[in-house]
Amino acid sequence: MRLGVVNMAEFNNVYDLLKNDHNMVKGLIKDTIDKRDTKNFDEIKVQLEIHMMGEEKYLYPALREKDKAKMDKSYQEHHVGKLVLHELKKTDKDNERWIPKMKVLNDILDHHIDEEENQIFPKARDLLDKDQEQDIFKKIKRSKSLMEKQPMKKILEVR
Amino acid sequence: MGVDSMARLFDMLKGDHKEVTGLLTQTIENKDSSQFPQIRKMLEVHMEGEEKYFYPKIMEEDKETALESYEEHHVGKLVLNELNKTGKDDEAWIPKVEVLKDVLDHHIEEEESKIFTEAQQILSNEQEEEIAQQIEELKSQRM
Repeated sequence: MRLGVVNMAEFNNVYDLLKNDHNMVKGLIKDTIDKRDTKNFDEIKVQLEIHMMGEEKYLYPALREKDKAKMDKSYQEHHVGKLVLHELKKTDKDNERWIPKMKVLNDILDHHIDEEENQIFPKARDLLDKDQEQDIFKKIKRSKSLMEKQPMKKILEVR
Repeated sequence: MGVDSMARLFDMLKGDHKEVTGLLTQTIENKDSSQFPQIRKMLEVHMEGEEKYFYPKIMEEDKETALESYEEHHVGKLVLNELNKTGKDDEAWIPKVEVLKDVLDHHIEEEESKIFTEAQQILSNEQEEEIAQQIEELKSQRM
């Protein structure tokens, strides 16, 4: 199976690209919970990891120079998300705790996404100049397209 | 049973929520880790009490909601454990407390607005009182 590839040419700026990731992953998680169907888990995990890596390597450091306290919290929100993702990976899909764990991941991400889209992105638009935004946008696109060329199995093995 | 003891269980659990949330807010606002041992102890005993005596009753009637509550506690415990092993002067320590507070705020909101309402309908007054006494007993042993 290959990773669902986003057509990145559709996006004009880094925020729209990241919001699209949020919506895509939220949709996959909602489907998983509503249908109690675990088949999309690998896709969810890989998409989240690529998304978090892009933000942590390219967006967060630029913002952390301006507002350290806020961004340190964002890193920790990602960190808790990764802890739950890791548990989902090692828990049997037919364990009765698997779907409840996914619901908790959903709640954690909803909260994080809400903060990011309503506080962090608007703030970033104020703090970063156009060149910085373009630079971050290019780097995140490049990092995503590098990952998306890999078969998903390989990404899951390394990460 | 007198009117005084009715719904005592929920007042008690809400009281715990308020107390621990207050301590977490102080910790974050003052960037002062001194209350952490108290926060940790309170949370551990509160969660143990709910998990041993309260959630099993919910589990019988609404398994899905109960299982999600156990998992919310579990994530709380993961973060508590990290706070315990991270140096208090590490720059990630306060951000971790902020995340713990968000996780707990969400859990408390669900518990108080949904689970307690359901539980009131599921449990008889006698059952509520029994659970309240069991949790008090646990607190007096552990705190």
